[in-house]
This record gives sequence, structure tokens and C-alpha cells, in this order.
Amino acid sequence: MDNLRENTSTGTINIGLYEPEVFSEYQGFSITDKSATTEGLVDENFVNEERLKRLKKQFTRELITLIVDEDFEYGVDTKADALVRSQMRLNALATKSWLNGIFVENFSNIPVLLGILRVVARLDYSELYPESHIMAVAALSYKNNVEVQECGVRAFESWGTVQSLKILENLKVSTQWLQEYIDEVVSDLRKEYNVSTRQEN
Amino acid sequence: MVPGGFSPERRPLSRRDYQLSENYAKHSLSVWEVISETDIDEAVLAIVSGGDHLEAIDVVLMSSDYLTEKGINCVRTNGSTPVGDLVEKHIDLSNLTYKSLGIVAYHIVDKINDQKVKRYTIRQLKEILNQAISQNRLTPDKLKDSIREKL
Amino acid sequence: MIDFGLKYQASIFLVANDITPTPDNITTLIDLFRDKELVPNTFREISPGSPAPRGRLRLSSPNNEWNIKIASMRIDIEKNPISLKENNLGNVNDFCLEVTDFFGRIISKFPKKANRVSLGTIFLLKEMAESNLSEVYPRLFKPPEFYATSPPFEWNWRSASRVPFISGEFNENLNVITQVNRAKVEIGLNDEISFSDRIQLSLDLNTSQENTEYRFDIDFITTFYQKISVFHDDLVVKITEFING
Repeated sequence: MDNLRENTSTGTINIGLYEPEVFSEYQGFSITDKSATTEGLVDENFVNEERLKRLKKQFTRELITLIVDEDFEYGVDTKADALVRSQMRLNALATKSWLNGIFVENFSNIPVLLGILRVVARLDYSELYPESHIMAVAALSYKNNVEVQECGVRAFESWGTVQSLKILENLKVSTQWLQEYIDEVVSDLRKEYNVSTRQEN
Repeated sequence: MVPGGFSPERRPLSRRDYQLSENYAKHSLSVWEVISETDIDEAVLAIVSGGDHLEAIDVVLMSSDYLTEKGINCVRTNGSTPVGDLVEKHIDLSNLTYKSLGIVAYHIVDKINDQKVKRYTIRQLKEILNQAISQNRLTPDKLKDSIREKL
Repeated sequence: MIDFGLKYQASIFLVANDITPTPDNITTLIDLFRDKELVPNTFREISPGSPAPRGRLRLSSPNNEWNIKIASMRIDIEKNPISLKENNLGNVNDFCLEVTDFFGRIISKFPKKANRVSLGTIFLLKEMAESNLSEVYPRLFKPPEFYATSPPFEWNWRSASRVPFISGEFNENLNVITQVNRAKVEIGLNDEISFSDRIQLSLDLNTSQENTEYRFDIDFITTFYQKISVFHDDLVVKITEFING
């Protein structure tokens, strides 16, 4: 078994890199192997890794600050949207990983979580699949916060795919207004995809 | 009157619910006037046609008589919408103070309790936009790309 | 001798391509690990059978301490350090107990058997004086003249042996792979960076790949990790004593 080798890129070991809450001091630590090898300096994996590092280091704080500070209104574009779009144009793969990381790290930070979900919902489904899909499903399962759940529903409504329909039509929530919204979106998607409901005895 | 695109039911009214109008820099709330409840789709058309993204919105129907009676300053200003015949339907609830904002907020809560609130899903918004386009009230090129692509 | 652990990883090799990022699977996994507050997300898997990387399901703790990666033909559970000050990695025996619990939870919902099981660890040894550090190389190698007279600042020693591993009805072979290398490392802590010349020790203990039958149930997996943690600790002591001379 060389599964540990598989997980280390040649020449570099990156251990335990993470950024906790944006407003606290960075308390993570890192180990980087500075060996003399020059392998892997120009391949695509290296490019993506470097891009991801840059995103984490330079843009995470900025994105989170924009999400927290900027007023949000449905239908209105934000600077957070613009930042993510510009990064997607440069390197979609690295940006997906970056957003994925922020989502995980801030899973209990509701304002940031909502912000990431809203940004992701405004991108095309295929652009960020499957990360976007998993984020939205995780939002639907979020305990004790109906706003996060609603954000998950909104994301699937925004993408409007057959997958969205399959996910939402089996969803049952305890909050009445949210269930009504889900039912309405399901009905809309069924019309869109010409799916009829069958009554079973 | 229909305020533009916020979810009063889910969070308290705050500074973020002010919208800037063309003529007033601060302390205004942007609303759209309708003749009756049956015309709410007109206000929704005005709001969504001027937006950047097609997303479900909640609208609340307020009473202009009530607001005027309570001393809320309602100023007709040109609205930011590509639907020409709706531009003049825009109103700023202007010079709002902490007190008058509270009056507006409680009025919205009352209206929500009276079921004068409606959520428009994306499909419903598309229908409204498409109808306006078919009636030549709106040309697709006046819409933002992200909205036009979804129609 | 050991300064801190860099990673612990436990892996079971089985058919897991059905555990895809569907809402049902995601919800099941969220519920399974709710007490651990693990967040569902993805990682990219590159496999020989797939021309393009595929998104696979992963569960992660927000501080990246735990990662459970569900690839198409294996499940990896890794534990990562989150701070130099706290030794959150803990001892290998406790890690083995945890992963046995985690594997058990997954297998309870997705009944499967594995055909291979493994434990991997990486450690950084304490800083050594240059005089001691330079003695490690000739202890491990019998270098050719050039390197005997020009001692290397970087080297990598790796050995793989095979020993029997018997557990109940199972008569398996265990691959024991040890890697010792000298590396210049950059250590970052609270924005302070320091450079250090260290010895890194990696161990990889896994059941042999030859028998591909899916035969290892959770009972075997549990026993494997109980026994292997003892073997691992014993081997670490012997290797580090040898390095020290």
C-alpha cells in the first residue's frame, strides 16, 4: 500500500492547513517539505494546488468579509458574487475546492454558510457540481435553522434541474411556510419537465 | 404598495431594508404602487425586471392611506425598471426616522398577519416577464444576462 | 524521540462506488456522524478506470482534524494535526479505536466486506544536533564512496517486509513498510515560520494485496486494528532506537 504516498504530491507535504474563524488570529500550522527535488513543478496538479493555496491565503478573508458586511437582497448581485465569478473564470477546479473548504470550515457559522449557499445557487448547476449539490443537500438537512434549509431549497429551485425535482419532491419539513414553498417549487418543476403525479391506491 | 424583495417574515426590518432611490441618498424605503391586490403582478414585474438574478421573492401589500395617515412621507420618484409604463409607479418612503421606520415595520407585520404577503417562485416570475415581453412592454435586451438566459 | 505526528490514516478496501453523493446517502451519513459534527463535502478521485476525476463523498470536521473519504474502491479515515501545541493526534491505539467505531457505523448502513485493511502513520522526529543527524545516514546505508565522502543533506530510506498475520480463521500476510527520510521542513505556527532539518518516519502496515476476495467483516477489522496498533508502537520504538544509535 502506498496510499499515503498517493496523498502526497511530489516534493511538498502540506499538513493541517486550515483557517479558523476569519476574525481570529490564524492558529493553524503548516509543514512544508523543502526538498531539493524539482519534480512536479510544471504539471496541472501543481498549478491547481498553487491556485488553491493562493485563494485560501488571499481571498478567503475577503470573501467572508464581503458576505458578512454586505447587505444581501434576493435578486441583487453582490461583490461576493463578483469575486467568486472572477475566480471561477481563472481556475474553476481550484475555486470549487476553495468554496468547498470555506463551506466545511464555516458550517456552524450561519451568516457565512448562508452567504456561500447564496453565491453557489447563483452559479450554473454544472459549474460547481457535485460540490454545490452536496452543499445544498447538507443545507436541507441542517438541524434547527429554517433559514439554512430554505437556502438549500432556493438553490435547487435556482438550478431547476431534474435532480432538483427528485430531491425536493421527497423532502418533508416541519415548518409550514417552508413546506408550502417546497411544494410549489416541486409543482413548478413537474410542469417544466412534464412530470405527472400518479395516484396509487 | 409593495416593497421590493425582502423577507420580512423571517427577519426583523433593519437598516439593510432601506433601498436607495434615485433622488434620495439615505433613509428611504423603495416601494411600488398598485391600484389593487389584483395588480400586484405589475409591481413584481417592476421589481424583477430591474434585478440581477431571477430568485424567489416575497412581496407585502401595504396601505398607502394608512402610511400617509401615520405621517410617512411618500414621494413619487422614477423607478429603476426597464418597463417604461411602470417607471412612474415607484414611490420612496422617504426621510425615515427610527420612529417612522418602526411604524412601517409594524404595518408590514400586520399585513403579513392578514395574509397580505405572497412568495413568487422563479417560474411565476418567468411567466410575468414573458408576458410583458409578449405584450411589448419589455424587450429582452433590457434584462440582465443572467435573467434573460433563464427565460 | 518523536516530536509530533503529521498524519494517521486507516483504510479499508472494498466496493464503495454505490456510496455516491445522493441526498439519501448524504443524509444517512450526516445522521451517522452527527455527534462528531462532520460536514459532508467532496474530494476528487482519479482512478485508472475513469478518464476524468470524479467527485466523491467526504465527511470532514470543520478544523480538518478528521476526514472520512469514501472513494469508489476504498474508504480512508484520516486524522490530521490542528496545532503544534496540542497533540490532538493522540496515540495510535486511540486512533485505531475511533476508526473501528467509524468503519462500524458506515458498514452498519452500507453492509460490505473488505479485501484489504491498512494503517499508515507519519511522524516528525525531534530536532537533532547536526553531528547526530549526520550519523543516521551511515547507520541506515552503506553508501558509495562519493556519498560517504560528501554526506547527503537529503536521503530517503524505505524497506518493505512481509510477516504473517493470524486472526481467528484468517491467515493473512502483512506488508510492513517503513520509510525514514531526512528533509528540510518549513514549520508555520501563528504566522511564524521556522526552518528545520528533521528526520521523518512513516509507517504503512497493510494486509497483502494478493487475495482479492472480499472477506473482512467488521469483526476482523476490529481485531486487525487492535493488534496492529500494538505492533505499530513496538516497531516505532525499535526504529527510533536504531536511528538514535
